[in-house]
Amino acid sequence: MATRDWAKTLRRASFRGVSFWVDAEEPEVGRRVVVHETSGGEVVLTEDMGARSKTVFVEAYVAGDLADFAGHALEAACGAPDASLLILPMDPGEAAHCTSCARNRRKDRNGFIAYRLEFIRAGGGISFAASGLGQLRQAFASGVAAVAAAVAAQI
Amino acid sequence: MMEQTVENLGASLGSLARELITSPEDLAEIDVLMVTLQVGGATAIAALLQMAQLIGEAADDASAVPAALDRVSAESPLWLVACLATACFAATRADYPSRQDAQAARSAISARADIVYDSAGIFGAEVIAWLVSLAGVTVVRLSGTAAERSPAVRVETGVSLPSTLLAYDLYGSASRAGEIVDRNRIATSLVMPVSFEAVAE
Repeated sequence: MATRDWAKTLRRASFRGVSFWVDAEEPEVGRRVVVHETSGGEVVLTEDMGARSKTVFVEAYVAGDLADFAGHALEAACGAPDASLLILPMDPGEAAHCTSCARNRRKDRNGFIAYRLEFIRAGGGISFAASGLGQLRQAFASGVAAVAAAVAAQI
Repeated sequence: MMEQTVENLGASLGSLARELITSPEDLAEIDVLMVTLQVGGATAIAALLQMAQLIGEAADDASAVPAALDRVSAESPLWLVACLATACFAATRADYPSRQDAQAARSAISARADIVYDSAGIFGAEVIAWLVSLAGVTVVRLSGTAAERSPAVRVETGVSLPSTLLAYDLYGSASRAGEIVDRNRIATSLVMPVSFEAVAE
């Protein structure tokens, strides 16, 4: 019996365009449910208060001769402000904030750097620049204040 | 040489804006920024850079912006920085009919950026990093456009023919005649030259 070639059908994971390999991914979705246990009651009331925020824990790694550079690139992508596109092997891209990126390098595993990444799915109002003009506006706006201050100090 | 103060550079950008922009809302925004220039300090510099952005984004004909920038004879580093910002926004917005057009625009942005990096060095690494990011986003965008567009090719005909007939022969649609006429800057569309340039498809 032919089985599916999983290695070929899974996506290459990336965040903010920086790719990494995934050892384990643990997205958590669910509902915010309040349980009302009434005094003397035999039946428990439950109340659905809406969706909880989706969090994603990823055990990621970078490997190879350039693992240190790939690791720094991943850390820079995770440290940059605002939400960006998170692609995981079995999920299409969605906008997410990186809330934590913890490196785990071990002396007996040279060329292999593990990361523990935590993401929160971005709220509905968040969008990231996909068009060229949007990206340029973002690049302009992110530095214009600092640039103005630096130039003003010289003039 | 006249000292190139922030106000003078703002005035140069203001006249450039009046030349390139026709939308009254955008011109009103330019006027507001011109007033902000008089505050001085970092606020004025930020207003100057925002004027540069607005000119690039709001110019009626984005492809005319680089030539208009080069006509202004100012060479202070701050002016060059503002010009690069304007050129980046204009190049991102402009329409490129063929691969060669997008590649030429990309080379022009890289060449302009190289000159600006040299003279903007006095403002420090942060300014250079910002300029590199602006030029980088623009160049990546133009590379993407270049990869998507059809190449331009040279077409040779034995006799002079009307542009509509040529457009029909080339694309199967006479309505694309204007495209060939504009591309080759031809005044007599009824009698086209025997050798001209056209987008491959």
